[in-house]
Amino acid sequence: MHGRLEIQSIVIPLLAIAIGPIVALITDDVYVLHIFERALIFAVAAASLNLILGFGGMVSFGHAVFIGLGAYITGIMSNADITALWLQIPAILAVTGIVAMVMGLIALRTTGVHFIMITLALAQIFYYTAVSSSTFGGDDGLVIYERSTFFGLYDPWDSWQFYGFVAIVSLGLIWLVTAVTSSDFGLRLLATRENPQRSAALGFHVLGTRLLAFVIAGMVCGLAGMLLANQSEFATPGYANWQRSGELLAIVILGGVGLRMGPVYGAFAFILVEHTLASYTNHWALYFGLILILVVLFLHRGLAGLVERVLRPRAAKRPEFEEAR
Amino acid sequence: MTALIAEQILNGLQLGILLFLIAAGLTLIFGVMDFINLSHGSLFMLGAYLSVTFIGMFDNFAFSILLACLSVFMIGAIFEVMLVRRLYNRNHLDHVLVTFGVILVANEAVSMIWGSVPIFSGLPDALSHQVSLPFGIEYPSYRLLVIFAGIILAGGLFYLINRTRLGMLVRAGASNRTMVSVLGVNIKLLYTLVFGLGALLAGFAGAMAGPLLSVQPGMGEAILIQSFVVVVIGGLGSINGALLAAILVGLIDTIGRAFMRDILGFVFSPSVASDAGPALSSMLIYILMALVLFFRPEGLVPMQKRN
Repeated sequence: MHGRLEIQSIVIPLLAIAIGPIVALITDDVYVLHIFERALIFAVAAASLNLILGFGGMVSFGHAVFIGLGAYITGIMSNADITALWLQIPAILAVTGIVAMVMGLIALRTTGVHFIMITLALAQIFYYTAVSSSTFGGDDGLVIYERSTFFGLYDPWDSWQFYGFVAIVSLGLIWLVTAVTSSDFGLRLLATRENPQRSAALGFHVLGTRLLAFVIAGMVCGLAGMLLANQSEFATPGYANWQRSGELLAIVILGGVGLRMGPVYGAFAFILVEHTLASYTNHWALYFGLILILVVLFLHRGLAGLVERVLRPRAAKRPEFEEAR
Repeated sequence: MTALIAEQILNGLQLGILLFLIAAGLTLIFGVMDFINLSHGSLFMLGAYLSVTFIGMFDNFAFSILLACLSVFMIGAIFEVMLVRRLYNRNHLDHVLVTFGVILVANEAVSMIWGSVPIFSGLPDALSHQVSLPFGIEYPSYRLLVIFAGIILAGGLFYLINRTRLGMLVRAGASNRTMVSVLGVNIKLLYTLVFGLGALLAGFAGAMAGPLLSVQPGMGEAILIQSFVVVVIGGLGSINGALLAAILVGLIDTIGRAFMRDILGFVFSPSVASDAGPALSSMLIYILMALVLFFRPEGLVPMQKRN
């Protein structure tokens, strides 16, 4: 199973980026592209969380902080007329990488409930910084006037071309996370999750492996924040709120934790449920809460597990690996 | 100046007491059942809403608070039997997610029933004046009542835990769950009672805090996160730790909010101070928590646990 890419991991993300344009062409409504852009962005963020949650067993309750960081850096740079992606992306990677490193060094000293709580606390520190930074809009958030550009290769204000940009970046990042989980490093990460003592005895650097995964996840999630800032033309402290972190966890669980394509299923299900219910009722969160409770109680391996059970009934009986504990 | 500081210390004490009531429930539920209950803040919110509703119906303050507490106890017990019980043998991630779902459901349900606009509950006339304390301190009588009622309830809780048979079972359950159930204790009933007790404490805190805060959907979340900070600083599962940490967090948070801007003003320019002051004061308790976890990961007063 490991060490090679599965067909699924290549095909599903391609389908995911194709579905938006197909629906837009059928309904002749460019607006639906925005919904699928959001789904792809959340898929990237959830995939990065799945790397540390599903494969590393680290239940981070502060992952949304990296979306916030990515969004704010993009917004601040774009509003200062530095819209070039070749400048924005290194800046985001550097900042989110350093923040993830510091956060990881503090949080990874703990495990279990303490890890959940300390990631939450560290994320709240960023949240309150953003809320009270009046230079960058404070509580009201930061309106972004320019979208990112890439050597003039695409027009960021054209709906189709902007969708193409989001789709290509998302596809690359989802594949990147898949490649990381399928690599030797991914196997080591799994080993540290399954049995830290034994991995240490085998000569793996447990803390280093976890920390590297945490930093990679933070950087990928920062780029998801970059996409979200461009998509919504807005950066708000709300992106880094603990409810957002909870939603990211929910998306990963909904899709199937520790399954490579889980986040894609989860993000699409989340955005579609949100969008469909929101057009019928103001209280869509009520139904989402109920769905979440039912999925955790009864759908053991989420949507991806369900798909697997339907497609390959025999293979699904031997789980690739057990879910995160 | 001394009067101002004394008043802020009293405010901090009052916040600390409220935090303790919520954190005590959280830490009990964690200590005995190993369950993380994010929806504890929703029980706090329910306490506030129910007390406001009952005050409107019966026009009797004390009776309404009592009725709200009992209702939240019942709701907590029913919630435990119907949902929480199924989750004890699941991992912590599942606890977090299910109770996160419950928060969403509770907030929406509340805004469907009572509307999403904040409601304010008036105080009875007897409690809406200022009291003169020694050293020339003027303090609202209702806040003083919150402090006293909280101290009495906290005392009752310590008596219950340390001096009664039920408390003995709770302590035994916290230190060795399997042994207690092997000894023939009805562990299911004990769990339901502990969960109900936690709910009652949160409901009482909500009912008492109702007139001090705006009662609105989502009001439980802010205080829930603070209570978790208290629980972690104090040591998961430790009631004594929760008391110490709650007073500490209440005082630091209140005094930070009141004076941080002035303190920073001594060192930095006024514009920096007015910008960084509120940010830093909101962060103080999280920084404290990160520091405590860094140096004493098991909390200030760790629970003794045998496995």
